[in-house]
Amino acid sequence: MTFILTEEERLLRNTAMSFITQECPLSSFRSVRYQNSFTGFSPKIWGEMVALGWAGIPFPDEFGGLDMGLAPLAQIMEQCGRQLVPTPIISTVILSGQLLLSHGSDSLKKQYLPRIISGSSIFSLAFQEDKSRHNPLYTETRVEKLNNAYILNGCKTLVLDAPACDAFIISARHENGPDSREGISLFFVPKDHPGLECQPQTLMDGRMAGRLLLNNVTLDTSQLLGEEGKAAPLLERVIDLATAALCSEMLGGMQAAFELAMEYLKQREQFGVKIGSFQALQHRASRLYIDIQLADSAVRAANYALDNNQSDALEIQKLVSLAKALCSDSYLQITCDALQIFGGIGMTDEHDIGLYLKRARVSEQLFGDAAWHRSRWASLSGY
Amino acid sequence: MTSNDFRSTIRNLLNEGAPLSLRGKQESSYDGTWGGRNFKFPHPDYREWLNFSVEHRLTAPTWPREYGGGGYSETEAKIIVEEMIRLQLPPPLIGIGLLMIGPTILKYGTEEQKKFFLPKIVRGEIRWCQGFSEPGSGSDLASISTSAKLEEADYRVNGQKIWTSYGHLSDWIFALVRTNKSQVKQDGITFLLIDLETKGVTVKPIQLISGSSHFCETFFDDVKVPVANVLGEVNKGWEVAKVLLDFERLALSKLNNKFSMMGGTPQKKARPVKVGVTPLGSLAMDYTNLENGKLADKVLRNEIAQLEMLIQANKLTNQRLAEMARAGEPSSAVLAMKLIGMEINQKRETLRMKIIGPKAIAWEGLGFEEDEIESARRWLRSRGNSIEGGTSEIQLNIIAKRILALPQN
Repeated sequence: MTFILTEEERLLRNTAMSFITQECPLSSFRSVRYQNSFTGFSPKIWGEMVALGWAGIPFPDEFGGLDMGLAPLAQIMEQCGRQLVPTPIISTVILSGQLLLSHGSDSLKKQYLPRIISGSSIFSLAFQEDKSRHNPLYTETRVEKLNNAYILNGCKTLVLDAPACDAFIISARHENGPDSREGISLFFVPKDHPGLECQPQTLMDGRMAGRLLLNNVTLDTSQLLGEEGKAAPLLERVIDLATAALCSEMLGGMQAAFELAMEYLKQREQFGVKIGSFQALQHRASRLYIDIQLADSAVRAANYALDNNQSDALEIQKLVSLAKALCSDSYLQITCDALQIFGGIGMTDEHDIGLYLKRARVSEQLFGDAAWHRSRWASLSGY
Repeated sequence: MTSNDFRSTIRNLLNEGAPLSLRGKQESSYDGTWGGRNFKFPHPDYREWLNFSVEHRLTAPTWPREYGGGGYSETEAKIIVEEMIRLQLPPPLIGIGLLMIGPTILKYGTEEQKKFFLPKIVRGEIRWCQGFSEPGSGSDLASISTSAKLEEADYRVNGQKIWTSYGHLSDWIFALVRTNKSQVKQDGITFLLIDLETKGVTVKPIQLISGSSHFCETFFDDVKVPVANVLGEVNKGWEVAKVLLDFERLALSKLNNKFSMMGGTPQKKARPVKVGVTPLGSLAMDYTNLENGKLADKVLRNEIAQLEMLIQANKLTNQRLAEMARAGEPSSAVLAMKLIGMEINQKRETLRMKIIGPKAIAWEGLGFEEDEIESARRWLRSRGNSIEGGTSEIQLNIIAKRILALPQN
């Protein structure tokens, strides 16, 4: 394990930093959020990111990718997190792209991976249901096999970037109770497929998701990913990849929110002195600084472990849970404390800190909150 | 010599010469060879291991050869430690002579001081203690009042130091003394090296709430100290002390849990841990109810996971900061690590008491296991972790000032 960036990562980090500070000001997102036409991210900015090659980073050469592995994406996510830039990297490049790459049939891969890499399609993974809470394997959506066809019925919710999607990978259950590890399959379903309806959902941070209604969605065997009924480990693995990427974004966000608050502590005056000279606020700031240091190490370790696959699977899962538990708690704490430091102005929609606070709350809930990941850690640790 | 050649040279040397009986003894309950006049080796093989290491210049690998060091590079020193770890050997010699006052003498000492002290430190002949805090100067360390007045070629030292760790087992003390009552209190302080056998020095151990301790009070009653024992310049001792504390921080940041050169407090009797379960998880499985093979108390389970995660994140952070320092990009975040380490220890002892439950309140008597009796003392002792070496509040001030550059009043 190493925490020192490779030359490649360093270059990408610098490119991402300058592109995002120059091309993606927070104000551009502020103006489009909560609008009816908004699909969750700016197609123009995503097009420019695709032109920089970012959508092809973790895909092999043969599909037009750059074959750089997943670690460099962490650098991009961190920079996106700093400026709260929404991208379909998690939904399309990671959740859908990595599932297609590892378990799609040759024809699915040939047809759809180049579309991800060229930015011409947006895909997402539909696993969350109304009663799932944080368990990604909880599945009430049913699949029945009739001759050589699969028929899906059920409902998915909070499908990331759904309004912009051209297709979904959907989890459904053949048998067993809703939270069993056995009997889950994954299917690739185009958005216009008969029986599939997608309703837009707006999240508190202004980003978009969707609800999928499946009414006798009939698929053929070529649309199955991986082995029938054996999708649990696939789902867990790809959600771990997405979680680590989200953690990188959260790390960037908490650093940026912290820096905003530190600037204010050095500039705002009350009682004739800078408020940053008050010990109560200094100690609060020092604690948050420590939280960021710990989260930073955990996020980098998780991303490194996932990309290199050197440790055993259990240790990798523990690192992902460590990163997400720390990021969930710390991002929220930092943005809440920062808002307190800003005082009244922080409560206004005009101030940026509210955007970070909302993103902290949304990302805390995605892919398992802190308590859920502590529980997973405990299970993986044998108690 | 390439680093591979160097490694095989050291490997052969240790394979041939390191006492067989000490291999695999790294994680035993032995708290380390501290050296000094009063040190008692638990077994002659520890003395032999020290002598062997001194002879082959392995105790202070990076110090210059003329003072008994190995003259090795940082990389070579790391290889030496790695090869000792490979054989699971305990460090041949530990303590603040090697890690704190030695490097400070190398930086500030006169030629005579280097020639006198360094070879003795390398050979484990002097054990040092630190005389900084006073009854009236805790967090406000620069307000010290122990005085040193010049009389011909000697200083006359009068006053009292407190919290001198292992003072009763040490040979020399490095102390901050006031040589000038200047306006800026930091400017009148001098860094003085004092032989504890000098007439007028008295060392008394302190009893803590947890029982006996290694902390002492050190009294100076008209103690004669030669002017030649000033380290650095007169009235510039505050600067010397800061450098010494940076050496301490550096040593702490390189600290390897299995190979601590700083010593530690090993648990007397470790409870066996269940296979595939973490130590705290295993302890909780011994003491609390299970449900489907997992802890039934979900609140406790969550708390254990939270602490284990903090411990893991702390380890990773130490590793990250050490890598950054080695790559030539040192981070000021190392200043924050003392606070985290201290809080982890307090939380661990608190959680251990909570897991053990009512039996953890035992002090002595029948019906208790050794580790149950020990848990109360360990918890009581851990309350001091957020006081010693700079209180938590001082640590938070340091982060705010030196890392975050927040305005000061």
